[in-house]
Amino acid sequence: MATAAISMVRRSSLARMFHLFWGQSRTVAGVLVWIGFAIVLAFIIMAIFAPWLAPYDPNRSIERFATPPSAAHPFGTTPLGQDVLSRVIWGARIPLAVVAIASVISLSLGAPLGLVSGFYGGYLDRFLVLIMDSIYAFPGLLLAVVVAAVIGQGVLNVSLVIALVYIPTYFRVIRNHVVAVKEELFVEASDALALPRTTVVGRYILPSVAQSIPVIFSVSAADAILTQAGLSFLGLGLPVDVPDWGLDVARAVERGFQTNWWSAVFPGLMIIILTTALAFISEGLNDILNPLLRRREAR
Amino acid sequence: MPEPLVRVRNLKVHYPLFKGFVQRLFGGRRYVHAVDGVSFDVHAGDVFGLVGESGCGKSTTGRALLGLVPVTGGEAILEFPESGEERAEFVRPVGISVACAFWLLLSAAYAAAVIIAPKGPFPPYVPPLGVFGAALVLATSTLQALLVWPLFKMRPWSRRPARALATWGALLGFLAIPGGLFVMAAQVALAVYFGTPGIVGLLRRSGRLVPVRRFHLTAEGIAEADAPGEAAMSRFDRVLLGPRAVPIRGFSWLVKQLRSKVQIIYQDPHAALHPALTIGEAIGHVLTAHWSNVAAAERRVGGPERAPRATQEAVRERARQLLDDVGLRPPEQFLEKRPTEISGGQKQRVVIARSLAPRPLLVVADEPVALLDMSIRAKVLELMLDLKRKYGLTYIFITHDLATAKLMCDRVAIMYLGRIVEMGSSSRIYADPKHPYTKALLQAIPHPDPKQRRRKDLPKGEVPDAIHPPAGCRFHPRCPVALSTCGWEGRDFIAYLEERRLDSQRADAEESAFGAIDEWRAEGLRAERKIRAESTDEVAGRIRTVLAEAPAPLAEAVENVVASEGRVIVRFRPPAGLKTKDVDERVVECLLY
Amino acid sequence: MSLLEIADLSVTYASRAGAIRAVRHVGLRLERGMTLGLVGESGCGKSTLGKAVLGILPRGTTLEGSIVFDGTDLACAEEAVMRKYRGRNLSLIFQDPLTRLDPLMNVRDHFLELIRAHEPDVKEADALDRARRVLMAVRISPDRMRQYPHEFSGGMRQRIMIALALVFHPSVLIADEPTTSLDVIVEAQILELLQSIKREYDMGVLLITHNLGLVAEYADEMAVMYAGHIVELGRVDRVFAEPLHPYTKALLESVIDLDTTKLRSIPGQPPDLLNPPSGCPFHPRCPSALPECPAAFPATTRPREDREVACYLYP
Repeated sequence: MATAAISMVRRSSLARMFHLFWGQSRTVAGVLVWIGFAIVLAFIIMAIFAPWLAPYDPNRSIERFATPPSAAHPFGTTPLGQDVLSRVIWGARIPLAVVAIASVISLSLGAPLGLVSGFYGGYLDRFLVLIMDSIYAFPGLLLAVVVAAVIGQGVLNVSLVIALVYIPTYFRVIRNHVVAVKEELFVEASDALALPRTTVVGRYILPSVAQSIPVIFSVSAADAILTQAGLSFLGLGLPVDVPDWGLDVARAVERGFQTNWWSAVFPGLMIIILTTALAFISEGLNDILNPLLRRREAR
Repeated sequence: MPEPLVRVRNLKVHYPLFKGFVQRLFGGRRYVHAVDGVSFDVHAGDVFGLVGESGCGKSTTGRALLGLVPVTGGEAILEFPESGEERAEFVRPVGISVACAFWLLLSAAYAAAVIIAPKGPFPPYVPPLGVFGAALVLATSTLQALLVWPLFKMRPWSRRPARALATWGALLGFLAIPGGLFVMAAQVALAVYFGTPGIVGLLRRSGRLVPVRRFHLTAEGIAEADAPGEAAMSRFDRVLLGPRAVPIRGFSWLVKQLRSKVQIIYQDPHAALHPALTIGEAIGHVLTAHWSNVAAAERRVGGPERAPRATQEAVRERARQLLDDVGLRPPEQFLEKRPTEISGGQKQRVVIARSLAPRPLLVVADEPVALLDMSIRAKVLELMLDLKRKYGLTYIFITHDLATAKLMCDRVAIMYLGRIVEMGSSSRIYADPKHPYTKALLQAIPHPDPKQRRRKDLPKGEVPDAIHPPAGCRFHPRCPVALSTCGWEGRDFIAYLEERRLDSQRADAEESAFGAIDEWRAEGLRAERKIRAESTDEVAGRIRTVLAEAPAPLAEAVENVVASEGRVIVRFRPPAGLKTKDVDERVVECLLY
Repeated sequence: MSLLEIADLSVTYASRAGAIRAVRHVGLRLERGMTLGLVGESGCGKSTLGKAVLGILPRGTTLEGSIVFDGTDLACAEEAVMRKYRGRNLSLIFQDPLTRLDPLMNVRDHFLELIRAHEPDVKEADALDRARRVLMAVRISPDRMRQYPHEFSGGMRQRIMIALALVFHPSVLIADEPTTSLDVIVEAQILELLQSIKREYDMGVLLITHNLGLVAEYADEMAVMYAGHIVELGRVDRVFAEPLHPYTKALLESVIDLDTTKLRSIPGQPPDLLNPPSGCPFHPRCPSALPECPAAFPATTRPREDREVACYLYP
């Protein structure tokens, strides 16, 4: 029953958020978010319909070496003769999949831990904060590299690695927010009324806190794309036969950038665009949600 | 005369001030003496007023009676009358049982994972189930640590070892060392031995809990006062209700019983209500949590027989009735509204309705009308008196506004810096105040009658901080009629020097004669300052002259002025002991009597 | 000529929900040596009025009418002109000094910043000397100048704010709920201090408060506001002795003082400023409402000497 209540709350605050957001479409922040969403959606469509969109098999060597962009190959070919356009289209799958899986894992581990840690405080809190801060202290890419080297390759493994890097972010933001909300008078009032803890956490604390989740999500998603591309660039994480933007950039740079700039630039551009789109979403959401949060809590 | 509902004896609430780790090693802990030895009785049906300025401890005293702030000294005994229809409640702590079962299952799975997976190469303890194995191990140990915490939070004597063990278990589990198995086995043993409610409750019949009506609040926590012999109580109940303390911030049965009998109305209605919940939801939560008490109370007053379980309709109906009782009509409309849609006065009514939901017998009202407009205050106060009649309530009315206190309260206690300085029937105290502080308060109130403008004789200065309250009678530095034995000390001398410098003409002369104020140090009954050896006698002489000009009580309290070893010391006589006295049908704490 | 003369002043806030007419057609006069008490409940517009005089209203607020001080109309003055007057000839003290003083600057820096803002070429020693003098006038030891706001108690912080307001010897001091967050003894101390300073500096004081007791004790004249309008204006002793407007009467009756024996309140709800009742906004709650009341706001009349009322009962 408590979990049903929590999911009900999540749904209704999501619904409320959507309505707020809808009303903000005219503002600069709103426009940013729409643009970001549109771009990400385009990428998702591209990833899903890759088999139909890509003109060639991304792994097949069509030419014998790198050729510049032409009518047959609008983005040129890689040093191995693969069509860059096809590789770019297929390459959308990996970052999106990795980010999706990693975000789900980070969120489902980091957020509840943050909630519990902030609410209970005491030794548990100190212990968890210590662990999370230690992970957080590592530069994301470095940590990812170390763990990936230990764990080995595979899409799932890469997702787990990236999830690990971002758990502390979710944890910290949620925990700090919970600690702040805990000081509110209505939380003390619910204590004085001896309400069960599930109600206090689920109905009194969670709604205020849940609103920061989408923002963390988009920020960490943008960063995760870069981290994943970085891992691929370094040759870690994914097996060689999977088309991936970071991998392509690495290979192109290896073989001399000047002679085949196209096989590095186009995948690189994709990375930048996707990351920027996610950044738009997070910035826009932040601008929209925070003043409303502040205004609501200031009453 | 029936037994008082509330008996407070020498209650103390001292908040520790958190200092850094290093400071704590060297310096002692500092405490805010919010409530410093307060004693009073409240009888059923009274409206008892706690009056004073901010920082006097009135709010803290009120909160302590609900167990919202821990008591650090003294005691409070709350005794509620026996009602005819007391039924024991059959409680099965399901939530905790489920948590325990889940914990055991996970631990078993974890143990299995460690046993089944053979040890691989470096790192030697990561089971070759791959990343998922590692994730499972991490998740299990974290969850294990989380689940163990709340269970052991309920028993203070097992708290520290249990937490330590749980932490170690998690850490070792993280490394997947077989030793973690032993740790977990030990935890299970502890749980069974100390009678974790869930596991024991599953193994035995769940407990029968008799409603508690006598509470004893002390520095050790909340306990049932003089538990009536109940042979049928299972071991489970005795563990929870026994004389050993239960942590106050827990949601143990005892605390919940206390808060179903004592409730609080907050000062700020905007902050006390969650902005996103509708009023119906807010009140509904409280009703659901206290439903058995609500149903029992209804039976008591011969109301409609409420369903034994809290159904949505029953809760809604009762919430509707509560809103009607506090004057929010039509109640159905208000059930759906959110706090942002109603006015301040209406919000306060909602807060009152919410605090009456568990059917309390004692209500602590913490400045209930201070933030409301004048024209609305009367309405809310009237409502409170109506509800008192209708529900048979007793109020502890906390306020800084003496006029409101005079109107509402039968008996009044005036507080200053953590102590009660005067207490008695409100008509007597207002007609003829005895304590100088009471007199000062009454004079300071602005009267809405321009014809009665008088020159006010106000005490100087402000309420000092509660970390280092003045010695002796706390009001002595400001009291217009203080005696020499009221508690003068080093600090007062330095304050006097500072005051002399406010006169611009003398400021420079004072500075050269006595040096900068920061160079003076006060230690209890002494005030001293380092001076170059040659001029000590000179400075001592100047001090004596200055003391001759000082107000009499301060000067007479000085024992001597000593000049020695490059220091000048002003020493005061120890103050007279301060006791409460019965004067003219009230209790006063002042050396004048 | 009056020190400060406000005529037909209206202030409207623009909000997402619509226009909030906080102040409507207000006329007041403040003389030297006089304390004018502006009374009303929350949301009646009294704080807005005080801020309007100093021109510190948020952007998007429209001002109509005139505020004449020293021959200049402040309502349509440019920001550069307002900056010369603000803090120097006209000062404002707020309700909560803790949030108004900068916690990162000590008292000395506060004074230096203020003095240099108006007189950039002043020498530090002179500025500190003036600061010291005004601090002693509010009974705060100048030795404490290097301390930070959080090291002072509430009453002392308020006195520091008063000292900052007095540094330039203003002719007009507006005190917006100066003692609402303070205890009763400190409140009395601060108001006595304000009285003596008013006499010493020969200022006019506009005391904005919801506490009728303060007005009775410390004000010479009083103005009662309701939903942005001034409904009654006159000498304090006469208004208390014979309140004319029904709102004033009801307000005085609802005050709880040491002599109150019966609780009396005003029925109904406070007015919604987005959608105030038509005509006289008090008519839904007025015990003597007449049929003309909802039609239009009544004109201000002078049924007695030295008294102005806006009510159809006194045409």
